Amino acid sequence: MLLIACLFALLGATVLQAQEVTAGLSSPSTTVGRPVEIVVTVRGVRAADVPERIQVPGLQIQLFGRSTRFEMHNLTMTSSLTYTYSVVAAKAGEYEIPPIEVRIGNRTLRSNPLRLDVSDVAAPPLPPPSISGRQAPGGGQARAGAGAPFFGDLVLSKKKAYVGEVVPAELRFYFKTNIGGEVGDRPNLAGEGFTVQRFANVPKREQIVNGENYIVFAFQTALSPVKSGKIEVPPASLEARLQVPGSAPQEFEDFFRNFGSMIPPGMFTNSQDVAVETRPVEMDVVSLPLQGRPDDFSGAIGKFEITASVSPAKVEPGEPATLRVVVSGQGNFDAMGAPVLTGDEGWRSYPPTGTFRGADAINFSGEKIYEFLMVARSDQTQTPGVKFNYFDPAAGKYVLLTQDPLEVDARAASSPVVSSDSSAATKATAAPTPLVAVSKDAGGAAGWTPWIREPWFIAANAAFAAAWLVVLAAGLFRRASISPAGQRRRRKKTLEARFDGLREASDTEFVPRATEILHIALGTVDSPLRADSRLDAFDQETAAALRDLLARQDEMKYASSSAKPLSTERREHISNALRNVIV
Amino acid sequence: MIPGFYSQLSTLGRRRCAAKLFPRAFACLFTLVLLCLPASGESLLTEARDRLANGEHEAAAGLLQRHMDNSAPSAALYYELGQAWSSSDREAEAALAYFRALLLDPAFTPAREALGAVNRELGIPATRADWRARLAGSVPLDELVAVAAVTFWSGAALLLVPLFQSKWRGRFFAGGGLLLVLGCSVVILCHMADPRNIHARDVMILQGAGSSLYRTPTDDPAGKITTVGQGSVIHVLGTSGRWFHGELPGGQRGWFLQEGSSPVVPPFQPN
Repeated sequence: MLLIACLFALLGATVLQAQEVTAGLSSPSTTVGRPVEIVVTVRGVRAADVPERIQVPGLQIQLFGRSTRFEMHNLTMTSSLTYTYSVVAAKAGEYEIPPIEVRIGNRTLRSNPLRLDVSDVAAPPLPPPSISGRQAPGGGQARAGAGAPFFGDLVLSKKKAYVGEVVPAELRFYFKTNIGGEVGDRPNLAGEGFTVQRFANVPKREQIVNGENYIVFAFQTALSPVKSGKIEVPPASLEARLQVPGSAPQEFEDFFRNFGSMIPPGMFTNSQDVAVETRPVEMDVVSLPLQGRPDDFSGAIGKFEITASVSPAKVEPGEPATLRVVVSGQGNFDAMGAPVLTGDEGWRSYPPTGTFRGADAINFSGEKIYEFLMVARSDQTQTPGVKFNYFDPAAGKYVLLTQDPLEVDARAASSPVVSSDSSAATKATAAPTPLVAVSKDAGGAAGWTPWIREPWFIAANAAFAAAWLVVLAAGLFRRASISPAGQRRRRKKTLEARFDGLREASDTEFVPRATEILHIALGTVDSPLRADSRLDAFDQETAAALRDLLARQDEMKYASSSAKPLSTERREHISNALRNVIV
Repeated sequence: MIPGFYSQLSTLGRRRCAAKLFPRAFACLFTLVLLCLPASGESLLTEARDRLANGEHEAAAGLLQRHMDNSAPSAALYYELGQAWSSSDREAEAALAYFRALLLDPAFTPAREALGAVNRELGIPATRADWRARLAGSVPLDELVAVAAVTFWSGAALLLVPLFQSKWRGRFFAGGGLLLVLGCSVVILCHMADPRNIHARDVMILQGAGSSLYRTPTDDPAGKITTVGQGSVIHVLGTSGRWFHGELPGGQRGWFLQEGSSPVVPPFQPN
């Protein structure tokens, strides 16, 4: 029964798993003739139809591999299909690869669109992933040569770069499909002479290398050289705990041999901590050429375009207009400076704000938006022009991009600004009059430390806080004392004190004092006649003893002769009855 | 002087006389110091203004600077100092003085206009006014903080009233809470908008050739990002030896040498 329930749970988990399609490129950029891969992963299904070819002018995209994986995590079975396409570009350019349609039964799901930049730099073709010996500091060591159970590879988009240029790279770590285990979240890569961007995960995929099936864990990043000369990118390592097929203990081998059979392959595995490393790669880095370097070089290296727009088109006097300049393309967006305004004599401009929108995971492609806030000094019909200098590493020269002035109707403020500063009784003009003396007692702060951080301000507030806490405590104490519970506590305390004093009372004092305690306990101090009826709430013996007490009190009060003194036993009896009432 | 008195006193009466003379001498000295100090400061200021009137701008700037080293900061005096430096063709120092005047009094329009004029000469675009600058320029922040503190404690006091009386308990709670939150919010806003806080870690480049921004704290020409012009204000993120790690107004980050830069808030203490 339990087994059937588990099976239903498993089935339900499989059915309920969300279906999704993702696509990723093995590299965001490549060169003409050099293939890259699109890996389409379909999760949550067991069968799907994908197109054999994808039509994109200038690109040859063809399906060449597919695989299915089942995984179980916490009693949840997940299945995923992986389709691998080969992409080869016939000419340089920027390509938009449309969403790939995947048919699952009657439904059609679409992947995310992709963007591939192809340059025509005659870079040497990348060697196929080399299979070499990898150190495993944690314990294991992979075998060298073809058929290695795991190995790593660093793929750089180019080997020759300029200082400051962003070079996309991909770290690939290959594991044979018959190896299980876990791999680290991100690889370690550090060295001198270059900086490394953050790593972006690529969906894992299967790939055949030298006839062997491998699962590939890939990470995209970008390197940026900071000095010229030969730079060696040291091995990057990815830590992993692997379950590699191993041999059985001797006892098991003997046991199986007794039955005349061999141990099933894959039955025994060895756990192994390894650090899978890529091979070191050398980069040839050169400085940016000084010849032809513009004075206002922005520091941008890559391939860019600019567009501009202005808003609003009609500007009220004294109001600012925003000139929005978008620098889009591929390159070192982090390190670039802003475009420069030209012909802005009639405008007062402010430093632009720069906002970056990445188009890929490593911020190599995207657009940076600069917004210049400008106020017209005199009436204007055109915005300033824009120029942007960058270095094109493919062409090896500086490129100037310009944007012509845009039409705008902006009017200047008609009169000079009048000071709103009440402290300095001076009127300001657009151009300050030199040597205007202002009063020494002009306004403004008289210290560099804001009051909020001045010790006297903090001390004053601390004093207020202390006083507030004292009043709070007093208030809480008062509320506690006037509450019904507090009154009950106080009355009980009074009664107990009086009851304790009753023992030392003389014979003549005992009855009046005991009666007084009784009236307080019953709440009949103001109406003694009600005491008799309230005694009904107590047991018979207690009520009788206390009625006797009340009668004696009346006798003492109204009788002409003095009452007979109480015996010790009677006093004790009345005291016990009183205690019952007090409690 | 006092030891001289001591030596002339007889041994027997020395202790008694000393007990009488010492407080008097101390009081005299203290009065003298009190009388002399402001006179010295005022005389420096008067002399500086006289020199300004005579066209000795650089000397006047020096005197003004000396006067301000020994007196409470004043936006007006920084403005005068900026004028003196500006007339001495020391635009970067003038820009720094005007900037400091604006830090003390963000509503000081003459200083704002003068800073804009100097920055235009230096090729530095004027700073963009965001909501913090607009708030700081429209209300005196210190006084507003005091009002907010009073509001806060008034609210706190109203919250205590229901402990002592039961009538209108809900109204007291609501009113007290409202004032408490209002006061607290205004204090936080003032703290965020105060230019003395915003620019507490800013430095201005004063040297004529500007300062180079590098990717790493080394003056390797290959790692040079750009040159920051004289008069530029850079927000300092950290230090390493002789180097500042800073961020330009556009968001670009890099390393530059500390030499030739000056903190815009005088008591700046880099970590």
